Amino acid sequence: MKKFTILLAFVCVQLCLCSTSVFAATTSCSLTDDTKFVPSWGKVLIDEDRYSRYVYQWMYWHNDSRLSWFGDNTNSTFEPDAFFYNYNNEAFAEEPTGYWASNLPRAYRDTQSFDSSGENAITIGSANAQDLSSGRIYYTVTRMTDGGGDSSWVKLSAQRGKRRPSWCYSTNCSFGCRQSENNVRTLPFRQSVPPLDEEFSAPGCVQYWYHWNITTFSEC
Amino acid sequence: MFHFIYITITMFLATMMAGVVAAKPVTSNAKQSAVNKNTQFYDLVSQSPYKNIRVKISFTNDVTLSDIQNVLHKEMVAVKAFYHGTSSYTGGYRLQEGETLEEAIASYQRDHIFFIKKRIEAEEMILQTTYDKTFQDAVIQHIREAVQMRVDFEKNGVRIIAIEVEGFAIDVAKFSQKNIFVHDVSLVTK
Repeated sequence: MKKFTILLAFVCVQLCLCSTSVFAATTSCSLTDDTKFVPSWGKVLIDEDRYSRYVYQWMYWHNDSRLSWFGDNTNSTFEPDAFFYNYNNEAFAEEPTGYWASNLPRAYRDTQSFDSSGENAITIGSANAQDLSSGRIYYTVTRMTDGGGDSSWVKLSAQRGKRRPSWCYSTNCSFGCRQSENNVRTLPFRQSVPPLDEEFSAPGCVQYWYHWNITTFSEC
Repeated sequence: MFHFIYITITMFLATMMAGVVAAKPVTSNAKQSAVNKNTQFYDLVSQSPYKNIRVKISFTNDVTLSDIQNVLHKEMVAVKAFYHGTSSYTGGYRLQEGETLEEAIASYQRDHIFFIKKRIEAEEMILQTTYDKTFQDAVIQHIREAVQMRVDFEKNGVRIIAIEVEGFAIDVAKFSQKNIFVHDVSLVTK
């Protein structure tokens, strides 16, 4: 009986440690509201040439207050995600491939390890979001593989997170925050984006303004 | 109770250390080089020299793609990704399945200039849709940076600051030991 108890305890410890390292895709963070980390303005351009499909994103925070959560957290990370609708297996894009670039601080190409198969996330993130500055344009670009569809809905999301451990700046050490607000949709799926009278889908180009006087969209 | 906890922790540590066994040592030169570059990497080379690993190798100074191509041609390691960058931007190129080094280098250079030009075009469009002076100034500054990137590319090509390679630990150690431009070697998760 004693041996059995020891074995059981051992298995529990192992499972606990494994689940922390393998399934811990999120981390604990302080509460905040969307105007402390979501970009004030953004633009997405999704297109293709004869080599592959690609996504370009731009973003801008118009004052320091809009970056204050990052500034208050030394190990903060930021991910401007582009999600391609794949619940019908006809996403415009599947995963990043080939060339990528960004001027986000400590930029990395994100992994799709913990993502849902219904939404293909294409992300270049920042492993040092505390170094983001207001009044400066940031961009990300990457080529992508074909997801099987000629067109699909796209959702843009602003995700705040933290590095665990704090000295590690690789994609595997960036975890999204569990606490709200987070994963704020700056461009939603399947929703008419005013003043445009239609849903945004890839390929295409759109700009958004998020709580910068107003929240609105425009063509590029 | 304490006895129980002690046994549990001991068993756990024993499993964590499984595989940490004496292995054939590498050459003294390769070992010394690895010590200088990364202790964790050196430990792996000592313990499992023929383990297939992936590492990121960063350079002391940036190097040209053709320099990298010449060096890698003689090596037993396979390049998986390139990284470029300065203090103001970064990026890279991840090789696709079956893509040769020559094909990757050609695509990398083609894409680098293509996306700089695309960026300039798109940002000039942004200027036409905003009346906020501070925002306009930020866009203009960003276009200037892109123009400078284009000039740098035309002058020097893509300058590489790191690569990701895959191969036996011993071969990676030999590569890092004999190439003086190697600054650091760190293990990466596939």
